[in-house]
Amino acid sequence: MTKGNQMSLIVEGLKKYGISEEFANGLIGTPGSTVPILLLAGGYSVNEYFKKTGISAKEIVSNANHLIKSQVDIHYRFKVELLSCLVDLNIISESFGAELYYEKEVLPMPNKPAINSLSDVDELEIPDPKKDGRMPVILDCAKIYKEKYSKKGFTYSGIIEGPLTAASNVVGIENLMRGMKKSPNLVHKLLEKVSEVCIEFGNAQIENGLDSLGIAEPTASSTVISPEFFKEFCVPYLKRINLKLNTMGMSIHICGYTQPIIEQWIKIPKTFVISVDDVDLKKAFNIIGKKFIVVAGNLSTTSLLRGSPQEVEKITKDCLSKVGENGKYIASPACDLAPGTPEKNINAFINTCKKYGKYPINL
Amino acid sequence: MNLLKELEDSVIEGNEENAKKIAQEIVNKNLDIQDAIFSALLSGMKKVGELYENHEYFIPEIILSADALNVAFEIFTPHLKETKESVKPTVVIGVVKGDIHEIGKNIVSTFLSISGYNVIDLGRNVHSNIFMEEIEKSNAQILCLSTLMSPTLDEMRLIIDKLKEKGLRDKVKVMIGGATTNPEFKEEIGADFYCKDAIEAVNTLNKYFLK
Repeated sequence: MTKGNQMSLIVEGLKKYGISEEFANGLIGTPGSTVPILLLAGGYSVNEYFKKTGISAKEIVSNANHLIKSQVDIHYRFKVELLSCLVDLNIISESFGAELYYEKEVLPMPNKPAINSLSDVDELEIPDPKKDGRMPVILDCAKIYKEKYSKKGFTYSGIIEGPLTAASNVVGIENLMRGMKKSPNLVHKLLEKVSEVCIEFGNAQIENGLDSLGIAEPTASSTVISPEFFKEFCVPYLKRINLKLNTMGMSIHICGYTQPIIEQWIKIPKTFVISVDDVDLKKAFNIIGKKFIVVAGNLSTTSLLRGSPQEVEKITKDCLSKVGENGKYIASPACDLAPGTPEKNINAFINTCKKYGKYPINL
Repeated sequence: MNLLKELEDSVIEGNEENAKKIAQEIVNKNLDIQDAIFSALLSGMKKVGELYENHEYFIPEIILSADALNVAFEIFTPHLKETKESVKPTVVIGVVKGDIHEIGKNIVSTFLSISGYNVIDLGRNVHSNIFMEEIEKSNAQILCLSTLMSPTLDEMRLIIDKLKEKGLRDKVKVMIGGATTNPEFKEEIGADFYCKDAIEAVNTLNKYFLK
């Protein structure tokens, strides 16, 4: 098969996920196409919606109509195709009984874990995605998207928090970290329970009409745990979750420093996109080699929040300059865009991608 | 082996049980507690910090080391003599509103306590008004603010502005820290010190307040 034929097959395959031909071509670096853009804007969108409507963040994240509207608004405003509905990473832990702290303007934060000690793990009952916590709200978002927006020219990706991230909020991060060293069996027990919910919740979202699904697992970064612990406490569960989710490919977001775990990360079955923060992009592409795995991210959210448009242009160009002729890159912030990120900076990022991100990229 | 070295190793290894046993032995043998705090606990934790910087240690290891340090310090506390060291100024510390990441702040708080500062730890997600109230109530001379995230950086600026409004700015030295802060940001918001870790926090304050 010629390279051209191979590429058109890949493009056709990607289109089945609701991805446009233009976006798909950008993913594989077809000459003349442009680097695809992803705005991780869950928290930013909720904050913007609050500023526009006065509706509190608590109400927004507890009501599917408001929540999906908040996300869709941003994607219409910035005209980017891929809509990633990343809300807060407390959905699963909250459904287990963890308490959250709600601010008026921004996403909720963990306040009190569901259990105070790993030794109470047996007491945890497995929540039902259709009934418990805010999981039904997220399921409704997928339904509303399918009914109202699926033909409006963007791709909708749902997000579930990864098993370690969910577990850290179920038992408290310090308890989880301590447990990894002192009572690994109990940590595994907790991860078993949490993973079960990740699978059920993810599949229920897919059933309701998502185009694709991603996992956000910041607790797995090498800023937090060692690559050895990543292998022991994260990889087996991500592997199981990915295999049991009814989707062909997954994106996995891990922010923080992740250079040492890329090799393990890309071996997790069905991983299609790795969304990165603090890594050397060039090295990441080298590790991936010929595998068809796409890298997203790497653009500092702090610079996007606090820098000037000129600085944003510079760091965006820096990311683009590391992308090879085969593409496999989605230009994206390294993490969820901070609430209050200046619009001119977001536009500087998008415009730089459009101006300099045309394949073959020559920077 | 030398007891101080053993205690330091227990902290580095995060061995709570050993740390407890050796700290008790140091007390029983009437050894210099201040020396044990500085030569074993703080120096052990400093090495833990270096191991983290070099990606050899991670958060689970740091937490276990901090646990070992805390258990030894609890044993030492009743035996600390009133010295010049123990009349150090009062520090109010907390993670600013909107952020709940407090592992780093907890370590700084512990370090300042074992270095003899009178530490009032307000916890995480602390509203600026709570900082103001506590500073006024305690007559604190130092305010330590932490955040890991970028959206909450502006909260630090807001707190400094409130200190000015209330006429407290000249009475309090403000130290900032946390993953998203840096020396440039310290300048930008007009804080007094930026410290990258707990050891630097202690050294900076000691240098300023014990000169």
